[in-house]
This record gives sequence, structure tokens and C-alpha cells, in this order.
Amino acid sequence: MSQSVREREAAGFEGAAAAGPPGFGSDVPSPLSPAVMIRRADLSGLSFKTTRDLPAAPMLAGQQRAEEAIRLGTSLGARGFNVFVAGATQSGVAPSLRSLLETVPQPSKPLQDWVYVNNFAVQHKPIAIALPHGRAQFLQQAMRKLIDDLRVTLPALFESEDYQRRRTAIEEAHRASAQKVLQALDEKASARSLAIIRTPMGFTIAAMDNGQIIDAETFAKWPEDRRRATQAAIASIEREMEESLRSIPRIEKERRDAVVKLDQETARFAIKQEIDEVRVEFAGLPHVLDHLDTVRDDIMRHVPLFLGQSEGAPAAPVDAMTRGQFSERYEVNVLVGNGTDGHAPVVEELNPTLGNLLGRVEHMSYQGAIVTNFSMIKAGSLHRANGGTIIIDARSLFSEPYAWSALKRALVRQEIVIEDLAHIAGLISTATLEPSPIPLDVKVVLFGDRLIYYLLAALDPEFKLHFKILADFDDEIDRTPQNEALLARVIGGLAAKAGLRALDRSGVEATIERAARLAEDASKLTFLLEDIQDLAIEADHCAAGAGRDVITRTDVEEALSGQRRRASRLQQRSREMILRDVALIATEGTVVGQINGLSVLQLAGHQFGRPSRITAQVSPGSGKIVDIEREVELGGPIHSKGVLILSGYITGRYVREAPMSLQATLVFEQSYGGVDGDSASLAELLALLSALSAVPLRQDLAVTGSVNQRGDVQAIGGVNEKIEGFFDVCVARGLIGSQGVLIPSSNVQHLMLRPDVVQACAEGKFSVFAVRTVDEALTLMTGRKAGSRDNDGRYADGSVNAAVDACLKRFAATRKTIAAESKESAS
Amino acid sequence: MSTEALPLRRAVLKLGTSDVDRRQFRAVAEFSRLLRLEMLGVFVEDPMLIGLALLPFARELRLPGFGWQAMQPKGVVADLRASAQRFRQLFERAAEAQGVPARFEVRAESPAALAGELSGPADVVIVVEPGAMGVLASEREQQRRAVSRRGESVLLLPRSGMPELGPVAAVAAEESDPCFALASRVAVATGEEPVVIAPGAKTSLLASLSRTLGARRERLLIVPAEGIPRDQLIETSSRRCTPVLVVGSS
Repeated sequence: MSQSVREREAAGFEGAAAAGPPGFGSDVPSPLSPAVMIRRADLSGLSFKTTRDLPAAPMLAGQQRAEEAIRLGTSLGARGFNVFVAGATQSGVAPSLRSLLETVPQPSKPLQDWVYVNNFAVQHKPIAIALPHGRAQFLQQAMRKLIDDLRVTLPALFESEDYQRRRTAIEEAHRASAQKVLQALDEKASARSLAIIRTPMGFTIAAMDNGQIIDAETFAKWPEDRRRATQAAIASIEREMEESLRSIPRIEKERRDAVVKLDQETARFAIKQEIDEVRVEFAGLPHVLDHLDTVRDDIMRHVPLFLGQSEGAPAAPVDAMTRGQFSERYEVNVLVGNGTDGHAPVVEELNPTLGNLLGRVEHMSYQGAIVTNFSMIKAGSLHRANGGTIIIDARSLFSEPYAWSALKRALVRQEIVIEDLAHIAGLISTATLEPSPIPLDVKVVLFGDRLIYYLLAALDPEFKLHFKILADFDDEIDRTPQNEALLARVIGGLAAKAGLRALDRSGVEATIERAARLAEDASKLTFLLEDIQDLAIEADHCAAGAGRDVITRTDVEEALSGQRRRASRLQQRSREMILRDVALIATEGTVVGQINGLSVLQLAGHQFGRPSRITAQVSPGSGKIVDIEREVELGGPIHSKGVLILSGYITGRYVREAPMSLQATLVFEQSYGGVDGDSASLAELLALLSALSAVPLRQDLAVTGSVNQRGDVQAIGGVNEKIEGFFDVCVARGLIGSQGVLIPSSNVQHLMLRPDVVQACAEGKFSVFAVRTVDEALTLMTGRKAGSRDNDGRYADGSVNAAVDACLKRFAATRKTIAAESKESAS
Repeated sequence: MSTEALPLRRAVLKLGTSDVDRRQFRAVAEFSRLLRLEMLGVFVEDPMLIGLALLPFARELRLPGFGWQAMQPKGVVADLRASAQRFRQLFERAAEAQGVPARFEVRAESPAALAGELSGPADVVIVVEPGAMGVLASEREQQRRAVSRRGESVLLLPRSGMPELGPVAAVAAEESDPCFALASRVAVATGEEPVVIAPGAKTSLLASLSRTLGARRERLLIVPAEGIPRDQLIETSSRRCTPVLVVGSS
């Protein structure tokens, strides 16, 4: 227990309990001192005027346990030691992680660049090549220069006299061969008075007479012998022509081969020289050298493309994998070209789609077809993080189809295989690339809600194989002076980062007090920094409106007031229903079997308390307490448990000599929604005891707290909202001085009440009572002693318990009489 | 005669059963652009071919399958139409690519009858070197006659291997010669060097070109219609793979 808490107890709760009201001794607690209703921030040990004077807070301040886990996870090189950072999802987690990871010393692994190059043999399977850190760009530039140089060198070479002479000789020789074939045939036909004629699709043979082609009419007039002889001659020439012309494509092919051979001989030296210059630069990299060899061979095969001879020259292989200029086939696609700082990369993937994680193959429309090639392979975040760390928001990861399973596959295989979502989903089935996999050596840091972690651990058996390290972020920290000082520095950092005014001491204190309220515990501070930052931003706006240079407590409280006001529509409607007596809540007087319970409503992050009327009715019966909420299925299991505990309490406390003969009903009046939790069980018990004893309960008090079978009052949640909820109703009706709330004594440490509530208590207009037992609460609520058993086991006359005991005895006697009469009439 | 005074207005490309491919069309269009000529493409449907098809035994060897098929008049007409359509597309695309105004027409007449009708002194008749599948004597004769026609300008286009770079050469006695003036204009338009080839009475045109240009190859050779034997022009164009523009006298 911290010093501050002890001081608070001494000043309030403990002291108040010792000084009960006259007539009740120490059975009845006094109202709590305002000093325990809110714990003010204590920054006395911190010397500063504004947050500008404060040093920056360390990364992940107050999260030593999580930090240790992250450092361990990122330092271990073994497989599976990836990190799951669990905690309430906050936008600030990733930047903090990133900053931390950049300082974590990691195993010394040489960083690598990765490129994809064309696979000239199997174009749809591009080849991945690793290069030393920073060398990928050099290779890309070297290849571009190589191609540019060849585009100049080769045409010049092919314009040379020597080349032209040899080329002309080849052309002439083959042309002569081709012409000789047709010429000989042409002469032979001419000698037989025939002519070879071109048709649109080929050749035909016509009869001639005196140099003129003979038409059908003339031919028909020829004598039969002549016609027959001419037809025979035509048939003969046709046979020869078929033979002769078949040889022409072969001659043409020989010519092309000879030209290609000449081209290769001419180009070989220049290409080798240029390639050798690049080889020198990458001498120690066998994969690059292998690639350069294939590039050399491919250029040799496609020399005409460098000469601009796109027609008539052997065409480059053009298929669905090729687009754009032919020189793209020699490009180097730098997938990962690391910077020059040499640090292991830390990559945060904000949108972890399958493509963004594993990379993707893009496509483009080319002449009406969808095509792609290796240069359209795009890196994923795993490529960029390879050799370092990748940070992924788990919630985003799980909202992307196939991404989680793909990440696991990559971790299992330890390589990145680019997968196409459209193909996986069967949306398209066209041919695409299958880039060779790239070895993966990455540390994955997932961050997300604890629920996600627990669900994964429970439902995915592979999860623990891959994420062996849990970095569990605390949502709150102990409220020590040191941690308050730490939070002050964090607040200063948040304000500076967001470009806000600095906070003065009072502004920081108000913010810290809000952090305690958000933790719902005066001895804790929330570390949900997004809420704190939002408050600072709104307070800065208030300060600007007021013309202040710094953010003060006034601005913070105004911002808080604004937050409450903006979210208060439902709260106001609820209160309005009470004030207009639509929802029946009494705030003064006394009534038998009726009490004000307190509940908390939480909607979209805003929560508020409101009173609910609880009533009890009793009669002789079989010993059953009917929970109406449960009977109509509006009560949850915890609420039902609380009601059943009441039976245990009554059985143990009263009429030990006879069976329980009570029939009771309990109801949350005008409650039409679900009720759960046991925080109303004290109120329900008090209503029940009031109904049994016929002793009225005070309506100017509201009650919250759970009870056990022994009559101890136990802590509940939302104590601040509950007190404030009843306070607001009382204020609206006008405070009469006697109003207040009973809370479990164990909740005193959670009090961080609004200033107006504390102020009203200080002025004696409102009270908060802390109770330890049912009897204390009973005494406060009835104004009569609860009463305890004497040595004879009897409660003191006039006490509430005595009245309860007497009532239950009457019920038992009544039941016994009824049972006897029933037996008698039956017999 | 000044450059502007050269009365060349139109490039005329006669098409029929000859095999003209995309390269020649592109060369014609480029040439037309450089000389600011319009283009006229004329596809000649020779009635003789249809007449041949009426012979009962007529058949043709169809390429590239090398299969024999009986000739039918309807089939020949369809083949001619298909050829005309293919040439029209190539012709118009080439003209469009170079931004040259162009017109294409189909004439169903004897080529001999059309010989003098289609072109005049202001036209440049395009003569594409035959030979994709060898050269027939009749085709060689047609080429020779086309180059020899008096008063007409002719552009001899080699079948392949035309240089895309190189000087623009003109056979001229002096720089004021209209052939050189025309060469200069084309050279300016192409960013090339104009070169004068002095006509040698005792040396061939091929020898003169080799002597003057050395290892270089001319992108275009412009020669006057008079003074150089036609066979030499055809041989020069064929051997050097050079377009030769023969400028007829006006």
C-alpha cells in the first residue's frame, strides 16, 4: 500500500469508521471525508513550470516487462521466437515499437539486396538474385549502361564497310541461287511457248503464241493435237516448277542463317567486351555472373533488335510475358535495394493484404491483352523487412483474406513465395509469373488486443509455434510519485509531438488525475495514451479559446466537461425520465421493501451511472427467492448468482431451528433491458430484509455493492460513475443534505470523483458511506440498529434483524399450520 | 531549274500480283514525306488472269503451301480483291504514319493499257525490285520498261537492306544541278549530308559511288534520267540496296 493511500485512509475512511453517529457506536460508518474522494496528483518531486522543461520520457515508459520481452524476442535468432505484443490497441504502439526495435541490438546478419531478372529459358519463372547490401542499384545501372552502349556500338559495327561487304556477298549469293531456279524454269517454259505467270496467291503457267498469252477462246480454236501437246507441256513444267519453287524457302532459310551467323560473328567481340566490363564489377557474385552469361547469349541471338531491324530480322520472342521495348528483357528489377545506413530494416505494414505482405505481380493492358513480365514484380513488406523486423497490426492482418495463412506459410518455409490472390480465389486462371522464392529471415512483431492473442492461442495450434514470445503491455501502472512524474514526461512528449501548447503544472496534474479516473482506480494510472493525447488536444483548443499560452487545469477540466457534455444525450434522457417521474426514483423519505440500486450504462466508450428502483415482496412459502429478472430472462448468470447468495445469507442468519419458509420476489422496477453483475446484491438484500422486517428504507440513499453468504460487502466496478449518477439526480431535484451513496469499503481506493461531487460532500450536501457488512448498511438505511444475536441466540429487541427473524418464524409457523391442515383434510 | 521548280507532285505505286511488303510501303511514304508528294496507290486487276482461269486445265501453285489448285474465275477475282484489300491497308497505314495525303484505287484493266495513263511528268513512279520468290523474265522486262519511260521520274526501291542513315547522294555536274538541289533538300529534312557524285564517262555508277563515299552507304541516290544506262541504275539500286530516284526531264 502506498504512502498516499495510507494517508487517505487515515484522513477519511479509517477515521470516519471510528467516529460513528450518536447512538450507533462504531456500527455505522460516518460519511467519507472529501479527502478520500479524489486523490490529487503529487508532482512535488518534479521541478518544472511547463512540460517544456521536462525531459522526454523513455520509449515504452512504464512497460519494462513488455520491453524486456520484445528485446528478448528480437535478439533470439532461433525460429519461432517472433513476438506478439498484447495490449489495448493504441495507435501509438507501432511507432513506439519501431523506435524501440531500431535500438535493439540484433544478431549480426549481413544485409542483402534482392533483384529479379529475366529467365531467358523459362520466361514465366523470373530468377531472384541476392546481392550484397547496396549493390542492387549498381547492377541495375550497369545493365542499363551495357544495353545503352550496345545500342550505339552494334549499329556502328554493322555499318562498317567490312560488314556491309560480307553481308552484300551473302545476299547476292543467295539471291542469285534463288533467281537461278526460277530463271531456268522460266527459260524452259519460254522455249516451249509457255509463260510462268504470278497470281495473287502463287504461280500459274499459260500458253503463249507470238508473245501473247492465249485465252480460253483462242485455245479452244486450236487443233486437238496442239491443245493436247500444250497441255502436256504445261503439266511437265508444272511438275518442275513445284520442285524448283520448293527449294526457294530453303535458299531463303540458308540466307537468313548465313546473315545471322555473320551478325553473331560481327557482334561477338563487342558484346563480350561490354559484358566483361560488367563481370569485373561483380566478380565475386556467381549468380550475377551466370546471369551475365545468359544475357550475353541472348543478345547474341537478338543482335538485329539492337540495329533497329525489327522487320525481316529474327524476331525476339514475343509472348504474353513480354511487353514494351525489347531491352526490358535485360532490365534488373530491384526488389529490395537497402539504403546505406546498414541497419537492419524495421518495417511497419499498415495494410497487410496478401499482396502487400508477399509482394505481387502487376499486369498491364497491352494491345488488348493483359500481360506482365518480371519487371512488374513488386516487393512486399516481407521483402523490405527481410533481415530485420516487420511490425503488423494483428486486427488488420486478420481482416485481410489469406494474409494470416500466407504469413504462416512464409514463416514455415522460411521463404517468400509471391501468391496471387486472384488465382488463389479462382477469379482468374490466366498464365502469370512464378517468380523464384526468396529466402526469408525476418522477425515478426504482431500487436493487438489480448483477446486476439488468447483466441489465437486457443484456436490456432500453429500460433504458438511461430509466436513464442508474448510482450504483454500494461494498460495501467501503479500510481507512485515516480510514475506520476513519468506520466508527466509522457504527457509533455505527447503535447510536443502533436504540436500543442505546453501544459503547466496544474494542467499536468489534472491530466494525471484523469489518467487515474480512466484506470478506475485512485492508485493506478492508465497507459491508454490515446485518451490522454485526445484530452490534451481538446484542452489545447480550450486554452487557445481562452488566449492562454499554456494548458492549465481549467482547460483540462473544461475539455473533460466538454467530453461529458457531448456524450451525455442518453444520460440526460435517463435523468429526465426520473425527474419527470416516468422512471420512479425517490430521493427522499422512507419506504418498506424498496431501495435505490445503482447501475452503469456503457455506450461507445462513454459510461454513466443511474439509479434503479429495486423492490421486494415476501410471503410464507417454500423457501424460494424468485428473481424476476431471471424468470423473464433479462438477468444474466452473475446477477442470478448474486440473488441465490441472498438465500444462503438469510438461511445462515435467521431461523436456524426451522426450515426456510419464505416466498420472495425481487425486481428491478422499470428495467426492460438485460441486467447482469452482482453489484446490486447488497441493495436487493436490504430490500428483502426491509420487506421481512417491515422496517422502511431511506430513499435519500442509493446502494451499490455485492455481498457474500457471510454478510461481507464486496467491491464492485464503476463506483465513480454510480455515485455521480445518483448525485446528478439529487442535484437536479435539489440537494437536501441527507442524500448520499453507500459503497463497499473496498471501493474507497477507487474513488476519483468529479470536483462538483467532492465539493458537495465537503459542504455537507451529499455523502458517501463506505460499508463493510450488511449490518452496517442495514443500520444506515433504516436508522435502526441491525442487531446481533445475544448469548441465547436472540436478536436484541427492536433491532431490524429481530424483526426479520420474527417474520421468518411466523412464516415457518404459518407454513407448518397449513401443512398440518392439508394433511388432515387429505386424511 | 530550281528545287522548287521541280514539277514533282505525286508518288504513284502500281500494285498487282507483285509482292510488296510493309518495308516498301514505309519507304514510299517516307520518301513522299521528304519530297512533299501525295501518294497514289493503284491496284491493277489484270483481266488476263481471269481469262486464264477459264481454261479447263488451268491451275495454280499456291504459296506458301505449295499445293496445286484448279483456277476458277470467281476464285481469282476473290484473290485479287483480297490482295487489293491487304495492299490498301498497308498503303494507308504507311501514309498515315508519315502524315502524307494518300489515295488508293483499284483498276480492272490491262497493265499495258494503263502504263501511260496513270502517271505523268509530275509523278514519281515507284518501281519495287522484284524477287521475293525469284525473278521472272517478264518482271525484269517490266522493270526495265518502267525505268526507261521517257519524261517520267522513277524511284527504284530495293527489296531489302535499305540504310536508315547515310548521306543523300546526287549525280550532278555541279551544285546548281536540280538533282543536287533536290538531294540538298532531302538532306536538310533528314539531317544528313548531301554529296555530289561526279558522272564519269568511263567509270560505272557503282564505281563512282564507292570512290566518293568509301565505306559509307547513301541513304538515297538521285540521278538524272539522261546519261546513265538504265541497267546500271537497276544494278546500282540492287547491289547497294539503295533507293534510286531517277528524275525525268520536265
